[in-house]
Amino acid sequence: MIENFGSALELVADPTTILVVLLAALFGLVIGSLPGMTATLAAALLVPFTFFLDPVPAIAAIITMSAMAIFAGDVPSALLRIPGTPSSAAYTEDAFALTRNGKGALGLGVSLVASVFGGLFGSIMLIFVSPILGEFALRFTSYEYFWVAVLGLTAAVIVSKGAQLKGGIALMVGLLVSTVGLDVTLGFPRFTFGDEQLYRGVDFIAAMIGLFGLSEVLRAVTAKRGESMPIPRIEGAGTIRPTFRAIWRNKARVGSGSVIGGVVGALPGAGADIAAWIAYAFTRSTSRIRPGKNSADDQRVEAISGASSANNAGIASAYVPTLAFGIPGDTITAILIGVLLVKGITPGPDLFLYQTDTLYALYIIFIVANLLLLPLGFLLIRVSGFVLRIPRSVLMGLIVAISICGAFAINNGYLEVGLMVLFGVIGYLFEKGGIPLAPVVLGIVLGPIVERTFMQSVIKTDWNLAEFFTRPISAVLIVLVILAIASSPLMSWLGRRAERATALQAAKDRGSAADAAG
Amino acid sequence: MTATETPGPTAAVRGNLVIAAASVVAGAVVIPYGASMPYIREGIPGPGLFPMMIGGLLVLFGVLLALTSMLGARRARRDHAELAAATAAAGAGAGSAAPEDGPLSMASASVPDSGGDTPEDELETVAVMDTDIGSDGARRWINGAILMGGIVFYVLFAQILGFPLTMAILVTAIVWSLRAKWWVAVTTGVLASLGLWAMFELGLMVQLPDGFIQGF
Repeated sequence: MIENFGSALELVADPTTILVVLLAALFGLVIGSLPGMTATLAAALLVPFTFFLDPVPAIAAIITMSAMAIFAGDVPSALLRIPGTPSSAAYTEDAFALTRNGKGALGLGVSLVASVFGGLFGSIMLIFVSPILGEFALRFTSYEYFWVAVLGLTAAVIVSKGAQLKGGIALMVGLLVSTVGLDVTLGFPRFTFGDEQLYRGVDFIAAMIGLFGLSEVLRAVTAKRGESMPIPRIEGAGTIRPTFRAIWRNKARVGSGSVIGGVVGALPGAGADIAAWIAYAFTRSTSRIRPGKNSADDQRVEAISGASSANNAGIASAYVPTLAFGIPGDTITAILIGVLLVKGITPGPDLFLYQTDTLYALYIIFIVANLLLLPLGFLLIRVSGFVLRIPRSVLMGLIVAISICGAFAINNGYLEVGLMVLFGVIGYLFEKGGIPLAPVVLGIVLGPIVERTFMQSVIKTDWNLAEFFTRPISAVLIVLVILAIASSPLMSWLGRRAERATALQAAKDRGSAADAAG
Repeated sequence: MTATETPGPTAAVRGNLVIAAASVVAGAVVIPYGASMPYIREGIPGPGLFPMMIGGLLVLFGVLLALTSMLGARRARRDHAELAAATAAAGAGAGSAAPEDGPLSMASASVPDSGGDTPEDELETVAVMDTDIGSDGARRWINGAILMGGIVFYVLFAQILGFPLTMAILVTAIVWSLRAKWWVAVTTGVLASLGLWAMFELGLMVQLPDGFIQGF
C-alpha cells in the first residue's frame, strides 16, 4: 500500500504531469467562467491533447480541468446572473443578489472554499468506497458485466432530467453509432456503406468533439442577436479572511452539502447539477437563520455553502461507479473512460488488482486538484472581469480550429474531420429539439460492452436466458437497475420541483419588489 | 451563450412530433438493414440482432414520445398559467395573496428578496461582456454557411495550400463573420494557426498537411 503510494507519487510529481495539471487548471477556469461553455465542452476539447500524453497526465488533465470548471461556473452566476455550467444554476439568484449588495467577492469566496471542501470530501469518499465496490466487481462474469452496462445505459436515460423518452432516443442513436464497423461475433461489416475506413468504427473522440465542440459553435453563429451584459464591479482584495469566517459559521452546511453531493453524485447518472439542486433545497428549507433585517445575505451565503460544496463533491464521487465498474457516472466520466480505453487501461475491477499505481495516482490527483483550486480560484475571482471580456467571436474561431486539428490528429485523416462535422450537426439539431446529448455519449461508450457481454453469455449457455437472472450478483445488479429506473422519476421530480418553485418564487418576489418601488 | 428561446407549448409539441417521426423512420430503416444480416444462426446471435433491437426501441420510443408530448403540453400550459398568475398577483398589489404553497412545497426553499437589497439598476459596472455575436434574419444562416463552408474549404484546400494558410483563412472568416473588427479576426486567425501548427507539428509530432509552403 505504502510502496504503491510512493510510486504513484512519483508518477504525479513528474514535471510533465505538473505542467499539464497547471495548464488544464487554467483552461478549466477560463472555459468554466464563460456562460454556455460547459465542463463537458472543455473535456471534449482536451481529449485530442490527452491522446498524446501518458495515462497519468492524461487523467490528471481531465480531473483537474473538471474540478476547476465546476467552480468557475459560479463566476458568471455572481456577475451576470447566468450560470457558467448547469451545476451552478441552483444558486445563481443568490450569488447575483450578493453581488448587487456589494458582497460579490464574499459570495464567490464562500463558494470557492465550499467547493474545495466538497471536492475533498468527494475524493475521500472515492478513495474509500470505490475499492469496496471494486472488490465486489472482481467476482463479475459476462452476465454481471452485461447488467452493469445495462445499469449504465439506464443511468444514461436518467441523466436526461425531465425528458426520459428523448433520452431514450438519444441513447439508441448512441448505441446505433456504436454498432458501426466490424461486428464482435463474426467480423461482419455493419453500417459501413462499403467504406473500408469505417470498418474500425466511428471514432469516439471525433464524435465527442463534434457533439460538444462544433455544435456549440454552430449554435453561437446562428444565434439571434443577444444583449451585451454589463459586468458589475467586484472588490477582489481582502476577501480571504471574511470568506473563511463565513465558512466557519456555515461549517455544518458545507458538511451536509458535501454528504448530499457525495451520495447523489455516486449514483450513476445523477450528476453534479442534480446534487446541487437537492443540497440547495435542503439547505434552504432547513435554514435556522431568522428572517429579519440584513438576514437575507446570511441566508444566501448559507445556501451557497451548501449547494456549492455539493456540486464539487458530486464531481469527485461520480468517479466511484466509473472506477469500480467501468460505467460512467456522467458525461465527463464517459469521456474519461474513452480516454482510458485508448490508453489501454480498462476501468473496472482490474484497475484495483493490476494497475494500483495508476489508481493511487488518480486519487492523489483528485486531492491535488482540489487543493490547487483554492489559490487559483481566489486568483480567478480577482481577474474575473477580464476573463469575461474575452471576445466570444475569437473563442468560436479557436474552438473550430482546435476541433479540426483534434479530429485530424486521431488518424491523420479526413474521415474523422467529416465525422466531427456530422456529429456537430447532430449535436446542434438535438440541442434544438431538446434531446439530451449525454445518453448519446454513454451509448457509444457502453454499446460494445453490452453487445459483447450479451453475446458471450448467450453463446456460453446456449440461449439459457435464465442465467441472466438467477445468479446472485446478477440479482443484486438487477435490483439496482430497477432502483435506478424507479429513482429516475423521483430524482427528476425533486430537481424539477425545486427549479420550478424557485422560478415561481422569484417571479413573485420580483413582482412585489417592483410594486414596492412603484 | 445563446438567447434562450421559450417556444410556446404548441411549438414544443410540434418539435416533439418531428423528433418522434424521425425516430420512428430511423427505426424503420434500421430494422430491415439489421434483418439483411445474419441475426441468428444455429442458435448463435449474429451481427444483425443488436441493430434490429435498437431499431425496434427507436420505433417504440418515437411512438411513446408522440403520445406523451401531448399530455406534457397540457401540464406545461398549466405551469405557465400558474407562473403568469403569480406574477400578475404580485404585480397587482403586495397585499394580495399569492397562491399558497402546500406544506411539502419547496417554494420555501427559493430565494427570498429582502427590502435592504440594492436594486439592480444601481449596480456599479466596470465593463461590458461581449456576448453580442448573434445576428438577425438571414445573417444567421449566412454565418452558419460560412462555418460549414469554411470547414469544407479547409478539407479541400489544406493539401494544396498547407495547414497554416488554410487554417488562418478559416479562423479569420469565422471570427470576422461574427462581427469582430477585421484586425482582431486576422490576428486571431494567424496566431491560432501558427500556435496549433507549432503545438501539433512540433510538440505532438502530428504530420499536418504542408501544402506548397515547405521547409518547416
